[in-house]
Amino acid sequence: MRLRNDREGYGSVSIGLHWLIAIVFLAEILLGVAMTRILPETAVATFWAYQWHKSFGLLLLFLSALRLVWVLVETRPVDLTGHGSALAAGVVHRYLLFAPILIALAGWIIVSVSPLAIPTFAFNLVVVPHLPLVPGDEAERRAIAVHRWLAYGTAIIVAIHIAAALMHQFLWRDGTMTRMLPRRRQSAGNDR
Amino acid sequence: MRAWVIGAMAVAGATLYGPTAVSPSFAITLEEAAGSYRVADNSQIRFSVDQVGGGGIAGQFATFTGTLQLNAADPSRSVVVFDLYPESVSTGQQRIDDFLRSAAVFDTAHYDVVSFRSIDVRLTGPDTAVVHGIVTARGKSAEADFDVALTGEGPGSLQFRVTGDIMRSPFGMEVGTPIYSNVVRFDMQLETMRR
Ligand code: HEM
Ligand code: HEM
Repeated sequence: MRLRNDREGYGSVSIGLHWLIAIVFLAEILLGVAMTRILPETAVATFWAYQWHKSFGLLLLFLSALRLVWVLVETRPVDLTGHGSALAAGVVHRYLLFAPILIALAGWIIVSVSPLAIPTFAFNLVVVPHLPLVPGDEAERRAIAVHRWLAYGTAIIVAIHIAAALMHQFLWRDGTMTRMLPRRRQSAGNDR
Repeated sequence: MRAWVIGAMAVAGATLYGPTAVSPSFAITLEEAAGSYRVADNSQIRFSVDQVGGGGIAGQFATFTGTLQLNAADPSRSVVVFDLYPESVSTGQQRIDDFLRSAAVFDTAHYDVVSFRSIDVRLTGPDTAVVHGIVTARGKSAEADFDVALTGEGPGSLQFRVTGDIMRSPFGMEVGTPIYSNVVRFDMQLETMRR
């Protein structure tokens, strides 16, 4: 098994992190929408939805920081398209490297400045301390606004990113999608 | 015979009687103190719930009623009745108050009273007693003990400090554990007036 990237493609570390982050990111958006807009404001389920959202959000912060470090030390595979989309992809990928980190930090700021002072007990295992900020209703409102717009804005960018991946796969058929898939699928899809 | 009284109440409360005890601050005999009292509105019903990492939620209940029957012949058969209205909860945070009133915790729309009915009173010292009884909340009942200490007396009045730990889970109110402790700590200052 190849862990590291090379000029042609991604190693298992990049692939594993990408899909783990993709799944948790999408789950975080769904949880965020459910807890703030679908579930009743005061309910046992809502309380736990918030706690899971915080736990998985911080896990995502950790995974995304790990990926950022990995991308910085790793070879970047060459773009396979050969047309103008390489620049767009480069910009989007750079944004998507930082976005989950910024969103999660904004979320962490919400819970840190909230006058409710609800502890973050990640996965009911680890107490994650609040950031040393001054709590207040106004600060909480502002942090929520930043968190919300970053999250939904990024969801739109991710939708574009997914659409682009599907176009590479089904329109241009250039192998961009397959080289991000788990290795077994890659060999099955490519030359066998 | 000079007897020393202490009584108590609230979501706890009681009385006690130590025939040989000497408690220089409270020179009231049980015979003098015996009778029926009601809990006055200026009593303080405070509670707190610890949270992981330190701190917690603290608040009080503003609306409650209660009576205390101090039995001179047998203080252990004194009776405490206390009702508190969870709608009146306040923690200083509207959102937390709303959550506590909601179906997730007290469900005040369906259960407007949390009650305590004493079963017996055990003297533990010259000024102290344990009141054992039943707490009922959200249609569920569980036994509970409250520690009572006589803290003052005046003409027609007795003051008590009442403390006790109540588990939330027997009442289906354990939402938030283990982030928030299952234990609610009550610390009450009761002003009782002779009826
Ligand atoms: C389920 C939907 C997704 C699909 C189908 C998908 C597909 C892909 C594909 C095919 C690539 C390889 C592009 C290339 O080699 O040029 C890629 C790269 C990338 N994707 Fe996604 N992706 C998805 C979700 C996400 C999400 C949610 C994020 C971020 C939150 C994300 C962030 C990235 C990044 C940063 C790269 C650059 C490569 C790397 O650094 O690992 N993707 N994605
Ligand atoms: C990258 C990870 C995350 C994503 C994608 C995300 C996404 C979202 C979304 C979509 C919402 C709903 C916004 C709305 O409609 O009002 C939301 C709300 C929220 N998120 Fe996150 N979140 C993430 C991480 C975190 C983290 C790490 C925390 C805290 C430690 C957090 C705390 C919150 C809180 C407290 C709210 C509710 C704000 C309110 O009361 O309106 N989030 N999040």
